[in-house]
Amino acid sequence: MQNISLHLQKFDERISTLFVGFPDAGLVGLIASGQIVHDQALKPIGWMDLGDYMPPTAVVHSGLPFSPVQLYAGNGIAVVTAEVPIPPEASKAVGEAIFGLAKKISAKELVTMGGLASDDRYEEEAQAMVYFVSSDPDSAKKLADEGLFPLEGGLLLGTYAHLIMSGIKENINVRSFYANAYPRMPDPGAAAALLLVISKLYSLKIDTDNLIKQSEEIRLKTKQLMQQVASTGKAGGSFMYT
Amino acid sequence: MNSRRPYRYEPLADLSDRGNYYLLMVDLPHVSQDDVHIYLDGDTMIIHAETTYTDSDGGFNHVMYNREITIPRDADPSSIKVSFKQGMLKIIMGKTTHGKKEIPIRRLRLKVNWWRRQLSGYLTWWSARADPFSEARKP
Repeated sequence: MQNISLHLQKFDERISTLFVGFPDAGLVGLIASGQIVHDQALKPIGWMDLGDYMPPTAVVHSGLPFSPVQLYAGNGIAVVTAEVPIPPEASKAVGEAIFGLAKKISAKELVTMGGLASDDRYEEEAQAMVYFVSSDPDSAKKLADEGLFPLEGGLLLGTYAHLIMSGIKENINVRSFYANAYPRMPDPGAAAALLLVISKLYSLKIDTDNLIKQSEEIRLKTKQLMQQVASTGKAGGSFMYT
Repeated sequence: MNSRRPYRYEPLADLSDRGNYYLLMVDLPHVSQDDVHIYLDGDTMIIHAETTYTDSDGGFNHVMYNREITIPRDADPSSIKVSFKQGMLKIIMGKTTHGKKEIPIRRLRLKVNWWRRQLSGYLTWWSARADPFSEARKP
């Protein structure tokens, strides 16, 4: 038995967009989702139990235990975030659970956020580049018209890939945004670049300057998680595994 | 009550081969350039740093970083260049050419030209057929 279950509190809010941010290259997905939760003052609305896909795991903050996969909502948006790398064998089931959640809360759009491992990023002084993949060709055209760059080629694997393909099947718009990021180190700068795009597209007030200011603190706090992510191989390689 | 003994960390490091040089990145959050000490002992690079800082919650922290990294055999210690920015240590090491022998390609010119012609024909064929779906995929 490997059931994944969602434990949702009752909430009445209408959700237009469901954001998903998991740990990956540069921990971009995790850092970006954490900043959205913080700056939009979202409230916890539930959590996900990964069943037999993961040994019993609790993340502890200030003496309180939490599930590694948490759900937050408020201001018409919801966020799913994980504080541990999702095991590859669980990625499809997690994708199904998230897509099921999106349908349940009638989200109009699903947005995934991640990092694109790039050794060149170590040598770049400029802001990280952000690329998109969209399940809907019209949406892709709109993003290109906004001046964003499509991911020209590559292979998506894991939960985000499942979400995008489900978006095509079920006719729900799924957009994936990737920022060039350090392969094996937390990269708050890349997360900030991605959040600049998100804040513009979705009219969300996100304090990316503060994110940059706290960059060193975030890097130290997420060091151990980055090591775990790097050891699962999700941070490197020529493909995006989230 | 928390003691003020330092937290000891092994900093994250990433060594990559960049073709004609090696790039070593070491993450040393909260550290300033003057706090960093780099030693070279044979083929081992030792990076040590120690600092104190106050975090965003107002907590006092004392951290100590220590990491030993085996540098590649063909890294040239005399060419090491170090820079430091926002807690990120960047070390560039050139490569030695000792023991390497260049293979003279020119002597093989006749054969190379023959292969070049074959390859050129193949590439022409391939580029003509590469991604035949690109037009169809356009939104």
